[in-house]
Amino acid sequence: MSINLDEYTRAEMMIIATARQVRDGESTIVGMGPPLLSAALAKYHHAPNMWYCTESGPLDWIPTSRELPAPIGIADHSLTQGSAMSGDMVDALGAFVNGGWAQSAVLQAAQIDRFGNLNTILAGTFEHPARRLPGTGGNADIGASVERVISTMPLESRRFKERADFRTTAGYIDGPGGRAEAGLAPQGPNKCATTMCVFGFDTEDGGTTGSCEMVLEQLFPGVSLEEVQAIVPWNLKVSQDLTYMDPPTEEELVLLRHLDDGGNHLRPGRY
Amino acid sequence: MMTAHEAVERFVNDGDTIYSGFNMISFALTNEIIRQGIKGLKAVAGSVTPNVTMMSIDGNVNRIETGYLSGTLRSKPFQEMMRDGRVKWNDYTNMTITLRLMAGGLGMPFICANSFLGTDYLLEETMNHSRSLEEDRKREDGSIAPPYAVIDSPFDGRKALLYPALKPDVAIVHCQRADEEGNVQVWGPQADTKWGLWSSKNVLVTAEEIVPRSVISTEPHFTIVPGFKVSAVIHEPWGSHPSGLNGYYRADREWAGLTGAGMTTWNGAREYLDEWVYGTKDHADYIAKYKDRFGEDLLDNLRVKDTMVPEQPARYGWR
Repeated sequence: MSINLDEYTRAEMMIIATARQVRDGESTIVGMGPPLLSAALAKYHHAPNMWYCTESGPLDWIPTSRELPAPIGIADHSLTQGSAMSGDMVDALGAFVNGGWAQSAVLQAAQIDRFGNLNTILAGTFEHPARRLPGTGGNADIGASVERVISTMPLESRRFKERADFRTTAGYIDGPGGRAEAGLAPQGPNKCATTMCVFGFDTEDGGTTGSCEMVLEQLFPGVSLEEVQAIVPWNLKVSQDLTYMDPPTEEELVLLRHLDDGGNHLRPGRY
Repeated sequence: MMTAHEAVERFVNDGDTIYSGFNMISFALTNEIIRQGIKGLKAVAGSVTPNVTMMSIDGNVNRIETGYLSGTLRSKPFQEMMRDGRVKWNDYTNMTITLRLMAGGLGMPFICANSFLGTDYLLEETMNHSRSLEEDRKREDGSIAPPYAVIDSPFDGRKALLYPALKPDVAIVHCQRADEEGNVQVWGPQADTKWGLWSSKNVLVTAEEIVPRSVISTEPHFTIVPGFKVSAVIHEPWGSHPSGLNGYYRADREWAGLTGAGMTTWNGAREYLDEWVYGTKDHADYIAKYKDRFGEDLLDNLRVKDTMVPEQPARYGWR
């Protein structure tokens, strides 16, 4: 199949950049929405031996056929086409995640802040929400316990906040030592993949030292540093090793479009 | 064995706490609860789904404790009622609601999980907010219990976050199969189902198929709760429609009652309920009407046809 490699959307690049953070051989808890697509792309592309698990209970999904599209939801019936286990939330979020067996997570959120805390519940204030959102699902459970969190969301000013409107999911909280003080284990290095770039976080040891702030690490082709800085509302740290991310390969794009099955996740107008 | 009508009449009362889970949704019982005009229910589940939205329109459900509003915010009426207080809620997570149900099922007063440590859920203004179902947390002496509480563990002194047990009055669920005694068999991802059923005082089950005891007992590993835990078992083919049932049928995604017009606007919801819920006498009538309106094919297209069969079925024996 031949496709035009110059014609891809920023939403597609976000999915691909997220997938590239997923490592082969790693046990991964995959959240609702675009993470299902990103992790499926990783599984089909470069991480065939990752454990693809979702919170409703399917553990270690190995699709029975490459014809299968990415799951639409975390309890999609296609997840029982090839899972090693069909458990429940106590198995998946309790034993697998809280018990410390999930090495990484792929999560979406409505907002992320300077210290990597996520918000999935509301926009505005708790007292007077401008908008109520679906809620945390397993997001908070996962953020509390999983060592490496890969979050993903479009780079938009309403999503990137110096402090999230409401912190539903702990990242590094208020900076170094925040997790330990809250009673949580260290976490990281975390990543956040967006429609324009990939961020890391300034901490070498999971939140004990370093500023724990978001750091711009990789720009997508055709995106300038200034464009990113114009959207992020605080004085954004930029990595000394800032690089451009490689554009999608033909294999990635073809796979992605097959897995999205005509827009299950990347519905036109949604991103 | 009884009908959905009898089951709801006997076991669902105004003001009850009702468990209806993230999947294996009994729309057959949902519709019957609406028909009988039960009021003021509190819906609890790891994730609540469009059947709870549907029950909120005429006030069957007016309170929610959940970790996730799955698809329900597509409904403008539902959003509006959350804003103006006609629907009150308290937020937890998929895991903590499931663990709270587990604690209820195990007869424990509370359970421990670290999910909200380091988050704004622990801010005093969040925990004490009157919107957060304060009246449901009243102790006998009139004081208000917190929705969750941080303590220093008596064992190692570290922070521990406690969540209170949940014991719903009634659970509704749709399963793949059951026998006449109410032995419930399910398969596929089970989310919060098992502990929703163990924790609830009365369990009402609609089953896609009613099978003999011998089918149950040659594959007992599929039984999620035994018959003595079940108050009513009802045979309802297509009992999850318009949502799906693993191995039987897919969700009817375009259907008005799931994500379409029946959910999104007040007028749509009114028309949908009048025609498809109040306007049908039971679930069989609803399915018959659907077939009558759209032909057999539309429903049949949802059926899962290419099912996997065990390569090597489990074996049991004693000598």
